[in-house]
Amino acid sequence: MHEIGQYIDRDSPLHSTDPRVKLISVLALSVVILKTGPGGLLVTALFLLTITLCSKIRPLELFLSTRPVWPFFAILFLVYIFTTPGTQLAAIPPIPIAISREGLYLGTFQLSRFFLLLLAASLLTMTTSHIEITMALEHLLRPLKIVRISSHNAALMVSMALRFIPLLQREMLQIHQAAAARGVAMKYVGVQEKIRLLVYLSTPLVMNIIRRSDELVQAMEARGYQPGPRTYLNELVLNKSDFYSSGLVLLLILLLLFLA
Amino acid sequence: MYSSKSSPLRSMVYSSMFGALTAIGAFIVIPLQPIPFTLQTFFTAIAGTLLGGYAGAMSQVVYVLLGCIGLPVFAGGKAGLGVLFGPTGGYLIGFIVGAYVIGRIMEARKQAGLMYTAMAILAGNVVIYTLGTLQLAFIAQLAPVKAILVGVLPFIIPEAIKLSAAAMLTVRLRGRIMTK
Repeated sequence: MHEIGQYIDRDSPLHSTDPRVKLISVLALSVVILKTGPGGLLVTALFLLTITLCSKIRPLELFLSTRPVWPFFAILFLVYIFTTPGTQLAAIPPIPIAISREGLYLGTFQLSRFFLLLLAASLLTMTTSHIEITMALEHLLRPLKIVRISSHNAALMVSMALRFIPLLQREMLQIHQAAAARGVAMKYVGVQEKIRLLVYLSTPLVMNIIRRSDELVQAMEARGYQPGPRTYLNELVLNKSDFYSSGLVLLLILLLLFLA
Repeated sequence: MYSSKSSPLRSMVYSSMFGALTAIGAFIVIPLQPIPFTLQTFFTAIAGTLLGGYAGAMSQVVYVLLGCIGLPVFAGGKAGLGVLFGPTGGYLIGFIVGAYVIGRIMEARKQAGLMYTAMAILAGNVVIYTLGTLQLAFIAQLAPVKAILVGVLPFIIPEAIKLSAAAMLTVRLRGRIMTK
C-alpha cells in the first residue's frame, strides 16, 4: 500500500526503535516542552538535532515538514508582539499599537515551544510507518478496556480508514470532474449557490460511503468476523536498545524539568 | 431497520468510514473570499447527524488517530501528535465531543426537521469552538478576547455555509443509513 503522509523509509537506529518507545517518548516530551524554560528548549533543540542526524533524515527535510503551520504561527507571533503590554520598542506612527520588548520575548519563546513540539512529532511520523504506529497505539490503549473501549477495535477502525482513504479520494475526484464537465464552477458563484452545490456534490460521496460500509459489513459478517484480540505476523518485542533509548529520554525529561 | 446498538460491527464500520470521510474533507478546499475553507467540519457534522452520538464520536476518534499517526489530515495539512498538544489541539478534542453532542441531540427526535438539524449542528459547533478556544487561550497564554479573535472570528462565515449545507444534506439522506 502506498504511504501518504510523512514516513521516509531509511535504515537507521531510530527507524528500528520500538514504535511504543517512540510514541511514549514524544508524548512525554510534548508535556515537558510546554513546562520547561528557555534553557530546556535549547537542550531539546540540540537533542532533536542529534537524533535527526542519527536517523539519516536531513534536518532540512524535518524543518520543511512543519511548513503547513507557518501561516498560523506568523499570525500568532504578530498577536504576541503587538498586544503584550510592556516596554515600547518601536511604534508604527499611523496605527496606535506598538511592538513591546516583552511581547517580542514572549512570542519568540512560545513559538519556539510549539515549533519543537511539532518537530518532535514529525520526527516520530517520519521514522515510523502508519502500521507500526497503529500497532503501538493498539498496545498502549489496551488499558482502556476498563472503560469498555476495545483498543483492537480502534486499531481495526484506523486500519480500515487507512485502506479506504485513497479510494474515497479517487471517488471524490471523479465526482468533482463530473461536475466540472457539466460546467459547475464553485469558484465563481455566490454563497447561496455554494451551499446548494456543496449539498449536490457531497450527496453522491456520502451515499457511496454508506453503500460501501454496508457491503463491508456483509462481507465481514459472511466471513464470521468476531471483534476481539488478534494476533500479528510481526509481534512487537522490546529489546535492549529500546531500554537504552527509553533511559536516555527519561534523563532528558528530568533535565528539562530541572531547567523549568 | 438496524439500530446503531443492534450491530456493533456495523457501527464500527460506519465510524471508520466516516472517520476516513472527515479526513478526506480536510483535502477538499472550497474557494471563498478572503480565505478558502476545507470541508472537514462539514463531515464532522454529517457524522454526528447520520450516525448518532456514540458512532459519530467514534468516527472523530478515528479521524484524530489518523492525524496522530502522521496523515496530513488536520487543518492546513498538519499531522502528528504535536498538533494535539499544540495551541490548536482543542479543536480536535472538540470534534469528538461536538459530534457526540450533535448525535445525541439528533437521537432525541425521531424525524428531525431542517431547523432542528441546523440547531443541533450549531450546538455542536459551539462545543467545538469553545474547546478549541479554551486550549488556544490556555496553551498560547492568550487573553480570552484575543483567543476568540484568532480562533473563532475568521471561521464564522465558512461555518455558517457548512452548517446550512450539512443540515440540508442530512434531511436528504435521512433514513438511508443503518438500513439494508
